Amino acid sequence: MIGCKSVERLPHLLKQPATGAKARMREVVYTFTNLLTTASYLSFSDDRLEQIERGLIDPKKEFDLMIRRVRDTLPDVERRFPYILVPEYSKTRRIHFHLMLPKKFNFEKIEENWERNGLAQSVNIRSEIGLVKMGFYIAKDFDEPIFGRPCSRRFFAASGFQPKRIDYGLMTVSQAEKLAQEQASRVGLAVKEFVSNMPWLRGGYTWFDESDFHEGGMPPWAT
Amino acid sequence: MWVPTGSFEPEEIENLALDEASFLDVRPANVNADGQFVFRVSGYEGFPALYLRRVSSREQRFDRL
Repeated sequence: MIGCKSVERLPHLLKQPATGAKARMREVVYTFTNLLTTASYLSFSDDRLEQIERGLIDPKKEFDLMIRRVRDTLPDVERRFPYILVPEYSKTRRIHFHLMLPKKFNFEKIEENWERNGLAQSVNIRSEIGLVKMGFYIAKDFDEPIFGRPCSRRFFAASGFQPKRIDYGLMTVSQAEKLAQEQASRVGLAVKEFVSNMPWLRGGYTWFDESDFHEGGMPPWAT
Repeated sequence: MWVPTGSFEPEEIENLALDEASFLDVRPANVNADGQFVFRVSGYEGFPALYLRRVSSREQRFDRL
């Protein structure tokens, strides 16, 4: 299997949710709450892919190295930034990374430091709903079995930026709807109900700005 | 295979004492006092959504209803 060896060697580090659906939700929420609007795509050149296949380099280690080099060029106050990395196979089994970075991130630094591995491209997501759509898009392979993914872990997120979970306790459907409406009315939006097929989840309520829906600004590789 | 032994006597059922009142008091943990289903409601700070998770009927947390 071509993939990230470091994680395979250290199974105790596998803290990812057991199901793709839960991982997807965490990834989407992380992306949204940290406003990771710089959506990027990191690919590997043919030479690099060959080296990965021969086990000479570990793609995740190459990414870690790149991020460390980028951090070293940034001023102290900007060194800690949230990001989320999703390793993925293309249809032709070429490994690549989806990387979400904060708004107005100096992407030239990523391009410069990734050059030795391949190409880095980025696009700015312009709306809230576009960001959610992008989050779902990069999680499209989360339901693949473990051997269908490049790494055991579905995503790698920068630590220290985990979204804070709020537990509202036990409620009936009408109480939950009322709570959602109260929260939505504070920002002047309407509540939309959604249902889930997942056995542990009934569904819920969202209040995204619908007017942004058609202006998602999805990058070319996501259409 | 079940083999009838003849040990059960019909009068036993008449003498069987069931405390019906306390039996009916036991309600599943996912139902509140008004007989409505309850869900665990959660969300994330800064994320415009509420999630309703199913509660196990065996979860004995009546104090939180």
